[in-house]
Order: sequence, then C-alpha cells, then structure tokens
Amino acid sequence: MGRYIARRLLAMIPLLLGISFIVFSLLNILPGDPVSIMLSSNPHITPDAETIAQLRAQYGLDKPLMTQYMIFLRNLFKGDLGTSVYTQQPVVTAIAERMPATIQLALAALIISTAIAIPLGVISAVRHYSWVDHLCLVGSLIGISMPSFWLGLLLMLVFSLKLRWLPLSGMGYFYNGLGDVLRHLVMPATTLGFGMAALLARVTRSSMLEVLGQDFIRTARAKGLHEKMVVYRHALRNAFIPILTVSGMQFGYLLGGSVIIETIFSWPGIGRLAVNAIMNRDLAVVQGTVLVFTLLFILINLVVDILYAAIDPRIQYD
Amino acid sequence: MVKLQAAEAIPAKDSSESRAGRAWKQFRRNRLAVLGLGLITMLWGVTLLADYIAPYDPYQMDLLNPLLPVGSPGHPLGTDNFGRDVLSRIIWGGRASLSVGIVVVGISASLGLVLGVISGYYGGWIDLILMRITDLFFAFPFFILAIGVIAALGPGLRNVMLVLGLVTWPEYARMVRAKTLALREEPFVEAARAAGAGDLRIMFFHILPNCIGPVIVMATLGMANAILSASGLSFLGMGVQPPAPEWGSMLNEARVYMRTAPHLVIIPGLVIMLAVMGLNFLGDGLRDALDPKMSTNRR
Repeated sequence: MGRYIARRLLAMIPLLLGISFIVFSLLNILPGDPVSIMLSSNPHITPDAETIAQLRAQYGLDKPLMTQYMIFLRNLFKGDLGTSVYTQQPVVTAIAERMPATIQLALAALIISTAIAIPLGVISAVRHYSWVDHLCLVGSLIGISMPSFWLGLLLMLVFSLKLRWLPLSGMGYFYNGLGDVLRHLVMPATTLGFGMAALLARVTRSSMLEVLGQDFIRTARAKGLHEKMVVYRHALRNAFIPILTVSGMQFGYLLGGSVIIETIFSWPGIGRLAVNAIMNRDLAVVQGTVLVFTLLFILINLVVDILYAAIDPRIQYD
Repeated sequence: MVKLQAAEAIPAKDSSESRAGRAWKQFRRNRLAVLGLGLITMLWGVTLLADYIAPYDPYQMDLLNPLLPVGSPGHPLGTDNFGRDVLSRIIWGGRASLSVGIVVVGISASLGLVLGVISGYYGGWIDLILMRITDLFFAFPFFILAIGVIAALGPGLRNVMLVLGLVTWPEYARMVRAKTLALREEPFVEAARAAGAGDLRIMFFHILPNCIGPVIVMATLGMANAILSASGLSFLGMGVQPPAPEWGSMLNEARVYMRTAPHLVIIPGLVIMLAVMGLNFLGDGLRDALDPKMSTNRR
C-alpha cells in the first residue's frame, strides 16, 4: 500500500511539470501581451514605450522563454505565485484567504449530492422499470441538462425574493452561530450539488443493478437475510467503486461549477477570485487559481484511487 | 484491381443498411430520444428561420416600454430593460448558442479522431506522447482550464468556441484509440493491407468508419456540454458580448432586474435547458441504439 502511494506520487511528477508548463503558457506564450493586457485594465495610464519596457523587465518578460519558465518553476517551489497587479497582494495569500470558503461550499455540495443521489439510485435499481425508476431517469436527465447558474437564480427568486426564507447571497460565519452558516450555505451548495447528484444517481443505479444480479446476493437472500440488509450492506458496498470513481471525476466539475456559483451568490471563494481576476485582467491571479484548482482536482483523484484499496481488499497494488 | 475492391467492400457493406435499420428501430422505441430529436429539430428550425419568424429586430430598443411582462400585447415574452423584444432575442440568440455546439464538436471530434486513430494505429512512441498529452488535459478541471485560456486570449464567441474545442478533444482521442487498437487486429484490416492499401487508407477508410457509432453518441452529448459551458462562459461575461443576443449573456444582463422582471431570468435559462436536454435525450437514445455496450441506463 505504502509502495503504491509512493509510486503514484512519483508518477505525478511529469504530470505536475506538464501542468505547470500549461499554466505558465497561459501568461507567457499565448498570443496577447500580458503587459499591454495589464495596462489596458487601467484607463488612466497611457502606456508609452518606456513604461512598457520597464514593466516587461519587472516581470521578467524580456528574458528568453525557457529562462522565464525556470524562474516560474523556481518561484513555484518557493510557494511564490507572483503578485496581483490589482491589489498588490501576493497571489498565494489571496488564494489561501479564500480557500476555506470554497472548501466549505464544495464539501457541502458533495454531502447534499450524495445524500440525494445514492438513495435514489438504490431505489431505482431495486425497483427497476417501476415508475420510481422512470421518474429518476427523467429527473436525472433534466438535472444534467439544467444550467447551474439558472438553477441558482431560480432558487434565489423563490427562497430569497418571494418567500424571504434565505439570505440572497454572501457567506455566513461561525461567530454568528451555526444557523447563520447553514442559512447562507444551503442555496449555493444545493445549486452546486444538483448536477452532480443527477449523474451520481445514474451511476449508482447501474452499478447496483450489476451487483444485484450476482450470485452472492442470491446466497444472502437464500440464507434469509432481511432485504434491507442485502441491499444496503451486501450490494451497496460492492457497488461503491464506480460510484467513488465518478464522484472523484465529478469533483472537477464541482470545482468548475463553483466558479459560476460563487459569482452568483457572492461567495468569497477562489472561484469568485478567479472571475474577478479575469475581469480585472489580473493574469497572475488567474494563473494561481487555475493551478490551485488543478492541484486540488489531482489530489482528490489520488485520494479516490487510494480509497479503492481501502474499500475493496481484492485490489492489490504491489 | 478487382480483388482490391472486393476486399474493401466487405466492412463497408456490413455497416450500412441492416445495421442502420436496426438502430433506427431501436431508437424509435425510446420515447425520450424521439422527444429529444423533436426538441432539437424545432429549436434548430426556429433559429435557422430567425429572419422570417422573429417579430422584431433583436437590437431594436424601445425605451418607452422597458421590462414589459410576459403576455404583453405585441411582445408575447415581454421586453428587457432596453425595451427589446425578448422573443426575438431568444430566437436570434439561438444562433450563437447552437453554432457553438456544432463548431466545438467539429473541432474536438476532428482533432480527436485523427490523433486517436494515429495513436492507436502506429502505437510506440507516437502513442506514448499523444496519450501523455491527453492525460495532461484530463488532469485539469475542464471548465477551469477553459476560463484560464479565455483569460489569456480575451473574451468573445470565437475564442469560446476555439477554447472549448481545444480542451475537449482528448475524450474522442481516447475512445478512438481504444477502438483502433481492437480493430487493427481484425481480419478486414489485414485483408485491406494484403490488397495493397496504405496506412492512411486503412486508418481513414477502414478503421474510422467503424468507430462512427460511439463518435456520434459522444458528439451529441458533447454538443450538449458545449452549449452548457458556452452559455456559462457568456453568463460570466467571457463569451458573447452585449448587445449581441445570446442566452447565457441575456441571463447575465437580467440578474439586476430579477426582482422586477423575473421572466428575463426564467425564459433564457429554460431555453438553454431545453436545448441541452434535447441533445442529452437524443444522445442517450443514440447510445442505446448504436452502441449498446456503452449504455448506462438500460441493462
């Protein structure tokens, strides 16, 4: 197990290098001169050739490309992602400040979507081709097709503007009590988790159907086990691997979705930081957020891979 | 010469009539898929005929009649904050949203098909490099990479299409590569080679046609995703720029007026959902009909 984890971590090195190169090229290789982009964000400055040259030197853009990349890598290792041209704050600090909000939102969305999807998927598998199953299928197809930003706005319309039950936007804080946190969290987390729930329900269903058809389930029933026990203890446990895989892959969509959701609900997380940075042409912050989101995504998928072994002792990695 | 034609004719004939007929029968039995096909045909039709159907010019402002509700005389879906007719903007906006679907899938499928078949057919270091590149793309959360590149290239419909296409091709490449690896060993490929067909001919006339089923399924679902992502980008202000009509950016502009004119939020979102849902229903039905092995919902 330990050796497997070590090997996986080693295999990640070329991947991380590739990722760092792509993130680097966002700022430095793609067409569009970063300095003139930065200057264009401030209409009060009319950039003359001298200012541009000075800025290019300041950001090291006058050096050869490979040297620039090496400097970028060296700074990455030191945990230096550059400085925001807009706020003059180090990018790492800006991201670290907003990280807890994004994690809170993502975890809540994950909990909500699992809580909806797994029971629904199990029920549709156990009673497949029944009306419940058909309803779930249509529901999940609608869920996958619904734009998350639209769902978010609809929820705001109903629960904040019409019923006035929930705050329109923003994040709650623990020093105002748990209620404050939850009241602010429920709409964005539901919005974010909904699309994922739709997909997860379908995977749960098909995975459960496959397991329920197997011999050991018949054995469990034959020895007189309660049906609930058969379904939830014997079948669901064995159906979990595809569910986990999809959850891991969906986490990427969750992170992507958080960009939109955080913008709608004025949630002070990394997603909103990224959108604001794009609007302000603050490319260092854009780079930093893309990098952090990607690292989070890779980390989650690594954890999922390792969890396989914990769930399924049949999987041997050495 | 005669021999060569005969050898080539075998796989081609097998995949045409009878298989397509069976697939169509299978497809028609799926009511959701037929509904999806209907939805898509209707939306495309309306969009293509925008010149004749749309009651107003989508840019024409009427500052005396802003934010009219649904069902107002002359404006069945009301007007927006500039008094522009919402129905006309929805109809014209479909052009942007739906063409995103086609262009994105066009870019990603053609890149993915070519690179996938090369990777699977030649193997070796070409395969190794191409597959490591796809790994790299899969390592990024797709939407995050897309907004990163948009940030560097600048907003706009053309950049959105380009970026979404360039970010999604690895899925097609992976699938086509896997299929190619299996097909490469089939007798009909060997027969074609024995008949003197070159690598290019084998790849593009013998192997790729046999991948077409799953590619169509993937392209349909991919189109749905592209429309959803592009409208999301426009919603964030990174796609189609105002005043051009587009469903996602209409939603974005409407946010401010949510309290007084909720229909401005409800209608564009509903239309996006219908377009995406139609494609998802269709793709699902096509999967059952063309590619039973990939099916997830019917066992």
